[in-house]
Amino acid sequence: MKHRITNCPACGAPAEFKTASTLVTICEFCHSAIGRTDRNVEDLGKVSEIGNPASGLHRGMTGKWKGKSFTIVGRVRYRHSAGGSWDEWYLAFTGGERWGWLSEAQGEFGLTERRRLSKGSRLPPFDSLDVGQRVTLKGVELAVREKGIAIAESAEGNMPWAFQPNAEHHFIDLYGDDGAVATYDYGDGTDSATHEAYLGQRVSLQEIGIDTSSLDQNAGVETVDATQCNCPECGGPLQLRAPDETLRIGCPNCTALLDADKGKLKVFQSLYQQKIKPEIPLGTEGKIGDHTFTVIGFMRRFVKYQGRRYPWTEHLLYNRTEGFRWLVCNEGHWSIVENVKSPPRLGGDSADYEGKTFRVYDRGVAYVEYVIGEFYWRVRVGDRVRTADYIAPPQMLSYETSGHGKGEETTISIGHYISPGEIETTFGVKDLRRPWGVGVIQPSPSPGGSFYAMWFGFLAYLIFVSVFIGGSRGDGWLLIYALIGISLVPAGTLFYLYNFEVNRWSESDYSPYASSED
Amino acid sequence: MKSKLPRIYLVIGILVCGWFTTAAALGWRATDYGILKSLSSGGGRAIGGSWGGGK
Repeated sequence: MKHRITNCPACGAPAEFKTASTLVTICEFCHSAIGRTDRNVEDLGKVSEIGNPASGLHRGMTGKWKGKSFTIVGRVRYRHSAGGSWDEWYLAFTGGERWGWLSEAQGEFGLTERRRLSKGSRLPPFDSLDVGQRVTLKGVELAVREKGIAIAESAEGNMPWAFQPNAEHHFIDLYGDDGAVATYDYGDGTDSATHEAYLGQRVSLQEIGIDTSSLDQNAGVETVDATQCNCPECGGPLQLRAPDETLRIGCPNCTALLDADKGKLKVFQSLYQQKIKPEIPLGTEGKIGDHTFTVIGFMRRFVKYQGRRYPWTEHLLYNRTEGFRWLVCNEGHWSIVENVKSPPRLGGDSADYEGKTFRVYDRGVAYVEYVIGEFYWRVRVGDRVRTADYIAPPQMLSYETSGHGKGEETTISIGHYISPGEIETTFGVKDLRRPWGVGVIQPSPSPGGSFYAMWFGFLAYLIFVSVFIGGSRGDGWLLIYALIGISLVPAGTLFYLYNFEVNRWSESDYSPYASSED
Repeated sequence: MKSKLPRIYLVIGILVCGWFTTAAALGWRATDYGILKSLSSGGGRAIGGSWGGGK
């Protein structure tokens, strides 16, 4: 079919296929998906109206990637089986034959292109790949980050693939070093479904030549009034700070859990819990790096070990362009946490990430105990995930694996120790609880290399004086006293540092300091 | 720890080294507590000559 303008088979309004390789376009008037066949067009059914993107991107925007100009011509919103959603933008490169797939999820972007599989070859079977498993695609080594099922629930504009409203998609998301990302698309998961592979890398909007100053600064804020909401359970005021990303809200007034769906709030679960005050109040802003983050959610979680609960709190931070971060507080020890950029290499009880080796500290099951504020997934009190923590102070790698239906997802995050003083300065809060005991990733209070250099310097000096000044008249006992005198402080320091590490590992089943009787 | 301890240690080290340099130059002798002597003579029950009774 050569023509690019047709009439919608559902309502008769004009509809445009912007490029010769566009396969589906969405009617601007009746929201029908119009498919292109060899000779004609067909009505693929209505799609629901698509929500605003959090980024403010829109069709018609232009950019440049690897020297080629592109125009954003379409978008599909996928609904994850765990409740969340993400957008996939379609970039038509100049000429119309080449396409880019730009995914947008929680403030992060990945630009991929379709890679042809060798003739007759198919992707590894969906069920044969596990989260964390390594594969190679077109010479790029990747690890499985997530396998899941999503529904293409709404769309706008043009698409370079045979979009079907509300069709299921089995997918596997992969990532690799240097920002490499990839997706295996298994269609509806049946044996006859077409398999596609997409490969590309994480990008920022600036990197792909999008004029970010032209983005709608209020995008994503329209669906729910950001300043005036009321809890449908208790009628108390709610302030939403990331309305378009938010799927679940814990009412700070009555602790009820609410569902946020296209601007409408409804009660998911009434909970009459004792309120827990966040260490940093919701709505507090703080500058991390060059970006201002807002505290939008607070939760308390715990792990159970030998009948004892070990709780900690987490503050969810949000910045529109940077996405989400976490501030985690455990016994007054704080860390700031973000998702890893590339997959660590797991090897038994250790993991390698960005040139550092992390040692396993803990494995277990973590439960959600208390939730208030906004969350980008459908969090529930009682949610459980399998966890594994690896440490290389002052950093921690955390693996959290959750299953939902046939899907499984592992989130790997990296946490950096941060002192309460820095938190107070950054977020303008006062009198944070000071830490108790040794933190799991608290930096070791090393006296520095110069301290030990001094020790060896003093030792050498004393021996020199004993030989060349004292000579035969020198008293060996005085030398021994002097050697002891200059070694007391270093010996005490070494003992303190050893004890510090023993205490760090005292709650771990994997302590390198554990005796055989432990 | 990184800033205070090395400074404190530097002062202690200089004092100890200064004291030892003076002692070596002036030929000072350490007080003899008899430790070496007692070690070379067998030690143990012989220290002090008796357990305090008998002789």
